[in-house]
Amino acid sequence: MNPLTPARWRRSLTAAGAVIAAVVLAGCSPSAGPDASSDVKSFDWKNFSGTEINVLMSEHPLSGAIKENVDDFETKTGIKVNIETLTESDYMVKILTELQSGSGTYDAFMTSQPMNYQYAAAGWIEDLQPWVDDTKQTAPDWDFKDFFPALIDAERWDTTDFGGAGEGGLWAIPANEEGYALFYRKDILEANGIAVPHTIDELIAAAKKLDGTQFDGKEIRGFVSRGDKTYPTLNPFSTFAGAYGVKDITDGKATVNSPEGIKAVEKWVELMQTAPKAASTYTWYEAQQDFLAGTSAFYIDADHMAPDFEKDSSAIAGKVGYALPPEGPEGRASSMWVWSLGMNAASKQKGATWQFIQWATSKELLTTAIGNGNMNPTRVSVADSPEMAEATKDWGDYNKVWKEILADYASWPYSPSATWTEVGDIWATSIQSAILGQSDVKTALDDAADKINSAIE
Amino acid sequence: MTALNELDTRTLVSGRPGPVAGRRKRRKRIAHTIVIVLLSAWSLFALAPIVWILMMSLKRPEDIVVYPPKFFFLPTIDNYITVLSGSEFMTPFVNSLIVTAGSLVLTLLIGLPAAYALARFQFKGRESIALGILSMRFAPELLIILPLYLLFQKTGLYDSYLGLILAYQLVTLPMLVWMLRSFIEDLPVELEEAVAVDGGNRWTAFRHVLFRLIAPGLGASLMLSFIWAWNSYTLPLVLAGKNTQVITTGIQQYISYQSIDWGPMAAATVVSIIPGILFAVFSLRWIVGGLTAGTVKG
Repeated sequence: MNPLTPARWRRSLTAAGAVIAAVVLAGCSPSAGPDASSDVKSFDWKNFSGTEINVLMSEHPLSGAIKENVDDFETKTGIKVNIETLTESDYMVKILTELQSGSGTYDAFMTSQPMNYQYAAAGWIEDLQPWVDDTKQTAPDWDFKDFFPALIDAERWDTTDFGGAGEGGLWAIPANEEGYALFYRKDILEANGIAVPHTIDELIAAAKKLDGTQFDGKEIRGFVSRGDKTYPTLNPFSTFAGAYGVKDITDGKATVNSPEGIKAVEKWVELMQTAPKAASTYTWYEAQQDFLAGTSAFYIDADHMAPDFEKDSSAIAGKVGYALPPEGPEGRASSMWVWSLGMNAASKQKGATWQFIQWATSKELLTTAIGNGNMNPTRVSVADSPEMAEATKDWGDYNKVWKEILADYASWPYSPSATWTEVGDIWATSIQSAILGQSDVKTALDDAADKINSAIE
Repeated sequence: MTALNELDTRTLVSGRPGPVAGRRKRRKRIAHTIVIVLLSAWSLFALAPIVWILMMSLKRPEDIVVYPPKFFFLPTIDNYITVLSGSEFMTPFVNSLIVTAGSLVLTLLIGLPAAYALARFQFKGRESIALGILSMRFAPELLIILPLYLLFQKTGLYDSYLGLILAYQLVTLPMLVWMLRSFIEDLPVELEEAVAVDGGNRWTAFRHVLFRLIAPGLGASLMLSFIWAWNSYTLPLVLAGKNTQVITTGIQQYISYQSIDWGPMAAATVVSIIPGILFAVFSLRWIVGGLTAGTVKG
């Protein structure tokens, strides 16, 4: 329907909008923190009764849960909430347009770390730390400390380009988390007498051994994962990058072609040789479909795909094992993606919006959202709740593994910057060309490093 | 067109065909056959994805994702029932109908007189105005979308039918004006002068003579305008809200977070193709019906 990929769309939108946004935003800097005009004496859910807010979200179990239960919030507070949801790529375009226009039409919206960097750098998104600290605005039982510390860290950034992650402003409140796990087919491993691999080398050996064998009348491929030349591909690859201690940028210079950077990609390329040829163009969706079709033994991707593997209509339900990402010389690692709720800096109803964000990230709502498939919860109490145990009881080690990944290994491993997505695309493109054998790993990564350096200058 | 060619050759080659004429006729027939074969091949190539979507819309979920793909399967109409029974698809579908029809009416009201004036009147700045209208098509939508969004937010046009209809003029108006302008310019002025000689005014000439002659051009440009308006994506994505969501963004509701409902999405796609096809069929009759050959001796 449109010849542009979402990423390119976003870039061209940014380019087109930057000029206009600069003009529009000149002379109106958003106020920081709660403003005096909506001053309230003490916290009360009815403080903003009679106001109306607009919320823009992507199609997601989280937005599903919020939509289903928003009546509770409206009766509790007297605030009217208009919710609009769009598919992910459409919503990315729309929220960017909205924020650039500075019109403040949508008060709250779904966001994630890489998006936060862009919005925070431009001053479009409200720093929520002052709101969290304000006892007049925040419900006493909201319990900010209950969120996983790694997630709160991922939401912080002091807006220094390629630095300052985990410090400074708090740009959003986490509501959904995904880490990266190793999925394996229990039945295939058992039939071939192979133990669950713990290290990267063991995984590669196992995948090679299984690749091309017959199982259940099908030819099995050793491995499958994302290979598309866009930055989301780096999420599964992050398990290798982290295990070798690779950094995308160190002191303002690209280090994707460091010795460990080359080693990590070489291992990844070796493993991807046991994947279907088409995998070099897979996004998470095709990779997931491939694994669901039951023709691949191993798969590294977002841990919360488990509900799809285990649903009744799935051909592999009950046959999937969940394991930690494989270990390398520097230990284990996983990237993370955190869907969160942010506040528009241009919102005219900040008090009411903050109440909405509190409610949407409360223990009650996140517990209810488990039923909508909102995996994984971002609060420790919800993660350990009996509801979560009940929902995942037929999924093997899932409930143990995802928590371990989040508690011990998951972090956002990339340098925060408004232009990071471009850097990520360059890196992913070089990995793809190495997998396809268009160039050797070192050449591809040297080339990527040059491109990244010119992109960040 | 082919019917006309046949007619020409038959009238040209009168009586018994001589040897030369016969050879020419044979060569012509061979060329004709080649053209038909090439066009058929191209049609097959162009229609294949649509045929595939049509097949997909009649399959059960397990038949859709199976590899190798199935060409023979037990058809089901479940997907169509899903799509047509809920408001999920019907609301955007109706919105699209309203907005597209509205846009075409407005384009016609503004565009037809504008095209006539640009073709027949001499006035200062004529070419600048014509180029100004055309330049709406040059500007990438992404460039104009942000100021438009701001304007719409301020004026209350955001998330309203009227707003979308106005925005769609960017897509439909320039094309219609330019197509009709060149169409009108190609028509001999003598026709209108003949009406004037008989005592008719400009309006009579336009209504009784010109309008009939430009009907095919009008049909063709309305058809294109319809398709462009119907398929418009960026404008409604940003300017429509939840009350006026149109089909192009609405169809994608079947892509959820971790899975895609291929069946209903294919069915929705098939249903959304239908208005375009119907519109094209009707305007084609108009286009062919309006062919006027030999009104003026050359």
